[in-house]
Amino acid sequence: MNVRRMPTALVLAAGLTVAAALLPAGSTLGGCTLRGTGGDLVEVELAFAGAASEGGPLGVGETLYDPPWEVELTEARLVLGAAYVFPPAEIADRWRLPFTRRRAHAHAGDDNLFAVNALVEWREQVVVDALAAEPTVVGPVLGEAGVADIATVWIDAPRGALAGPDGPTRGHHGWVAGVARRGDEEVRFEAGLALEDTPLSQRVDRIPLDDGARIAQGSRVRIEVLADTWLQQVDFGALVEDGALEPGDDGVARPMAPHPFQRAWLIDFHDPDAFRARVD
Amino acid sequence: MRRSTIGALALMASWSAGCGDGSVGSLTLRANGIQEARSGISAEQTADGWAVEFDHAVLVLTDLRLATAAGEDAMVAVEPAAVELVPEPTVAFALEGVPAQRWDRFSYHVGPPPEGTRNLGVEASLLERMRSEGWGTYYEGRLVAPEGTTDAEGEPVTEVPFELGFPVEVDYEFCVAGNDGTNGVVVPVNSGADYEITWHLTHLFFDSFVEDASLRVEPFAARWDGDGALTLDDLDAPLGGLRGIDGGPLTDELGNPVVYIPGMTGADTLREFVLNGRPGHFNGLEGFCMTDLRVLD
Repeated sequence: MNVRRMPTALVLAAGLTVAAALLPAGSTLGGCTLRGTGGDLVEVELAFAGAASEGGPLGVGETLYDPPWEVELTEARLVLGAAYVFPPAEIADRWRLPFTRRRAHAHAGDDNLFAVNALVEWREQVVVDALAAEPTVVGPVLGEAGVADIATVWIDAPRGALAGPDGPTRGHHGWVAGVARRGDEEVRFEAGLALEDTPLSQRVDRIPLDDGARIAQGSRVRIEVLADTWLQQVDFGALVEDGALEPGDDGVARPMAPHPFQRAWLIDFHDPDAFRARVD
Repeated sequence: MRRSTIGALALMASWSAGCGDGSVGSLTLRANGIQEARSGISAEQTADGWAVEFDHAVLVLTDLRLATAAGEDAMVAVEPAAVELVPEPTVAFALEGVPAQRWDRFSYHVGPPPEGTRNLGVEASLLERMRSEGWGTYYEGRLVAPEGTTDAEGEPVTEVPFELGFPVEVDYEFCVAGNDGTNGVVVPVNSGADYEITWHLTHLFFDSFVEDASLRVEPFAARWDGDGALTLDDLDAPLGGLRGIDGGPLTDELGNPVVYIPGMTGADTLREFVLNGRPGHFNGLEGFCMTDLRVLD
């Protein structure tokens, strides 16, 4: 079952347009303050960077299997096409327009943010190197001041110059290369991952922000990608045993979807726990 | 069954002040496991040819709420109800004296049975087990294998018994009625309205919480150790490493790897994935609610 989501840009733009049209000429409200429609308008930056989930080196993790394989990534990139920051649900609910209604699956996959204003919204493509702690900074973008609760990112198919086979993700939504080791066993690999072209497949919702996070003038929203978690579901032992990770002449295995490697990678690639967000 | 008379409990200041005429009606809420509660999940419904037969499907409704977007609240007080969904629907709540109007914010809540839970057709020992284990829902039956199925040792497999208790609390809120797409419920003046919590048992076997889910039973059966019934704890295995019943790679009907997509639930294991299912609809399968789920262990 599909759900459709009203683009938050449309909601934000429409709301602001209507509010602006209602302001009398020479209004004493002044500046960008639009009372009754949310917070003050502010300029915000977004920063995208790699990070380690537990403070170790970037891109080094282990699988969930017993005994685990240690996975060391030498390349880990993904393409993001949008990022949003939302207020807490109770605040969002107050803002909800009376003629909209939320629609959701009765099972998970809820479109919980349908018709909710975004405090911060950014909609351009950027390639995130998840092994680089130094962030890629974009902005400033216009946002609304206020308490922030969760973030959403949109994992995108690369476009234009990013889309070629020599692009940073080799034309995929995500790209990874590295080596997995367990005892004397070693598997070198590189692979790309493509997502279905549907909103719920590409959107990663409910990335938590710290309690009390606030969007204000000059805030920087930092969104981190925890690539060390990406391959924890890959059962390297079983794949080797099944003959599903045969290396090429150069000793590198290159699994191509549909393949159990991508199946397992997808689980944590599209997981809120593979991201971290905060407001600096 | 006992009727939950709200009469004096149905207080709503804004209603009495704003609507003024004191008109009331009744609301009956039925719990319905629909087709699957009567005849199970057929092999034709699943992607892997396995079927499912249910002996029990128990749902504990701990609360419900009638309110409006304007802030009115019917202040309905109900006694929790444990409902056996197999094989037929059961009236869980029959409310009298409800202020007659549209209550556009309808919610119901599922969780372990608290003290005072009414037993609506559930085996007493089973309800006690749910209370002691902290289960909000419970499913029991058999996974039925396609003909000719063998396990990793080459032994034939015909069926796998299961007893799945769910330690979860789930709020189903802002429900939209599936029959007409409107928000909540309408209580008519001096008359009665019938609504339904539609409990869709197929959700137990979804392979995706994102889109285009298929029903897959084999991954459950493959986790059975052959001793007693399959339980949720048997499903505590990483989603990326699930195997087929024969111990080999888990593939779909085209020979491609089966992909479980947990979406925003963050589930890592088949157990976590199953626990995050939301089978509840409202007034038919096209009726949806916002959900907030908490795993209790």
